[in-house]
Amino acid sequence: MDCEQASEIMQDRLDGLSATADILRLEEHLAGCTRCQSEWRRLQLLDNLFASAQMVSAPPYLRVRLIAAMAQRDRARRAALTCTVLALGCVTLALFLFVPAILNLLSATSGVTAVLLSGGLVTINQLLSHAGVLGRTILILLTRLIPPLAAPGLCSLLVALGLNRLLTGLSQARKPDIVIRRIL
Amino acid sequence: MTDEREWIRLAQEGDQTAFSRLVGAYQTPVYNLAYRMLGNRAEAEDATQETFLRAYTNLRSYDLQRPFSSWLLSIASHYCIDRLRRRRITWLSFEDEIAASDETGDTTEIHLKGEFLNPESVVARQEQETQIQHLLAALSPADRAAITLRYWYDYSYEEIARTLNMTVSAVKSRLHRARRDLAQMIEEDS
Repeated sequence: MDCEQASEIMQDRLDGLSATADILRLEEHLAGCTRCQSEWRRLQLLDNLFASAQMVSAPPYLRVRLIAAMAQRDRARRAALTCTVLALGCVTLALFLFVPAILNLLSATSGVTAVLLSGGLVTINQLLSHAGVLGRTILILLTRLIPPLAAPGLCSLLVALGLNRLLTGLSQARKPDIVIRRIL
Repeated sequence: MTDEREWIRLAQEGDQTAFSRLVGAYQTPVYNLAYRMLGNRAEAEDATQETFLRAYTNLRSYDLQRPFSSWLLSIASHYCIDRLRRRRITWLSFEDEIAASDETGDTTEIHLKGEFLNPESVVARQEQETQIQHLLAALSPADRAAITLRYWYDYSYEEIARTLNMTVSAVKSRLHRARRDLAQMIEEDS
């Protein structure tokens, strides 16, 4: 047996995995090899140190902290879900109201695309005129659409905030208390 | 064990009280792993919290055939390994780790299993703990995890491999190398 094989058997022996025959071979090798004797002594020292180490217990307040963190994550998840649903509703409503306006905008600005596709910058004047048309179109759309959209948009926002507050308040008021009381 | 399976089943259905029982049963094993790997109490508490939050979020994907402790310790190990790797990126050295734990007055609370210790024994235990943490801090994150699972949880090579997503031969070579390095360090220190 060489020193490398001896080293492998030492490790296996520490893990309780070596066969009796291997242990005997190792003992024979150790009897005549001071280098391996020294390694075996060091490994045993380390093994005893780690094997005698205790579990470090969790502090007593940690459990309550963990339950509170889980309840908080639940609340945040519910609030995020509510907000997402309401935001999707608002976007759907806005799209429904904006679709005719967007179609008008596209037809009014279709010239810009044609100019760009036909060979790039034809003249600065052409682009400026299209930019002017686009600007005027956006201005008209905004002045026409803002007043009718402001009311439903504001209402949706208020409803979203109200429901969010209500759900968050309800979960804060009830669930964590119940859970923590059961634990304590 | 039957109780535990029932708690897990109930927790999977969204019962927070059942999950809180699992927290009570496993907080110390998870905390001990995190403390051994991260080396200080504050980070170990954060890691324990994050482990249970991840377990709570992914509880539906837990396979009941697998030991719950192994699944939970796997989450904790991976979280701690990631955290240690991020810490390396910020160039926090081993000396900083020790200094940080000293600054926070990090004295280890040892699970004494009801035994009485005189002041000398307490001091000896604390010195032993300091030496162990000093040795563990010299290892790479994955080696720390392997050594911790081997010595504090008595895991076999196969169990460590499953927990850390490694092959059995990789676990074996990591453990052997880590032990040789640590043994060398002990001699140099003494």
